[in-house]
Amino acid sequence: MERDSKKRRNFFDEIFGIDPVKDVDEMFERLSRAMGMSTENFGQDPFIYGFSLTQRPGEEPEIREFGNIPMFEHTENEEHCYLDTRKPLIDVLETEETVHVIAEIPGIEKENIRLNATDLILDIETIDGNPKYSERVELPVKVDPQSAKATYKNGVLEVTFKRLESISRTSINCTAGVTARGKAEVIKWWA
Amino acid sequence: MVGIRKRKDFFEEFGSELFDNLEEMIEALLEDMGESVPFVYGFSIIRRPGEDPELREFGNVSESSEDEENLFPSEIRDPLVDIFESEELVHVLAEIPEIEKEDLLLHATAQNLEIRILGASEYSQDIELPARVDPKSAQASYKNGVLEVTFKRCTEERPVEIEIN
Repeated sequence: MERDSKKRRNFFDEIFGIDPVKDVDEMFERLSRAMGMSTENFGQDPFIYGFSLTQRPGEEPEIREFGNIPMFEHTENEEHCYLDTRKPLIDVLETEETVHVIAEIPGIEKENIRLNATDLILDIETIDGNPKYSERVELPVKVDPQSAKATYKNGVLEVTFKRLESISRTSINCTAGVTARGKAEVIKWWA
Repeated sequence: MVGIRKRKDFFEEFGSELFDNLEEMIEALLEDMGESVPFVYGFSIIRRPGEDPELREFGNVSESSEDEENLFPSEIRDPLVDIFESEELVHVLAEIPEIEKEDLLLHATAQNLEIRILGASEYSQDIELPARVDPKSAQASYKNGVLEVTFKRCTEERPVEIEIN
């Protein structure tokens, strides 16, 4: 069969039915509506939205959203919209004894990650740097928050819990990821 | 007070006219998907003053697939890329988490930057640069999952006045 070399339309068009080049205004309008904000809120920083789709054997398919979530600040007669917080791309894996949470938070120094856990929730937050990440991860089963171990390497945060029942709230220290403390290494490439 | 406004499900709202379409697509995706590799799709939109808005897609939608039946995720995702220019420089930022610096290969021409990732499933992406650059001026770093490449812009070739003797 002869392969058509024509590039497919972009996925955006396929999935949302809007050509982002031809229907720019409509795209912004619909995006704003879906996010509950105004078109003026799109600024110089990239606005990011995405989703992941996972299916594990014997489970329902799972959709997780990530990207910029509008935050609103209310003053007496005004409302400000901030788009500087990003939900990270998350994956949660279970084994018989453990629960793993994997979060992609590239561009962050390990020291700036704050993790807090209860038996059913893991809060991930970054306190400095751009973008700011913030996410509350609901754990699929009860875990022992005291058992949590966390690493951060090459932009990927991984937190491992032992499955157990517990109700105490604990903060978790990041153990050193291999590159998290490394200096920025500059490579030169010659064309 | 800072809070997250309760909003409707993004799909429901944004893809309202196409929701059936999307469900069908998800079903098609699930059929072809490997059981352990999550499918990831995302986009970034940037609107800089005086420029057309720019939409960039990322994720592991197989780029070559023309028909929707053939949409299965590859193992390496297209990275989220941001490019910005200053008067003298062009910066390319790419979020490529979870790889080692040693597995990144970069090649540049005056107008393109090719990012190659070596490994079990090789991957490459060609990024078009918004302005002509001096590829020899490139400096690159990979840290915390973010690749940053900086180029010096080529100075604009201005017409030179020629005197007639």
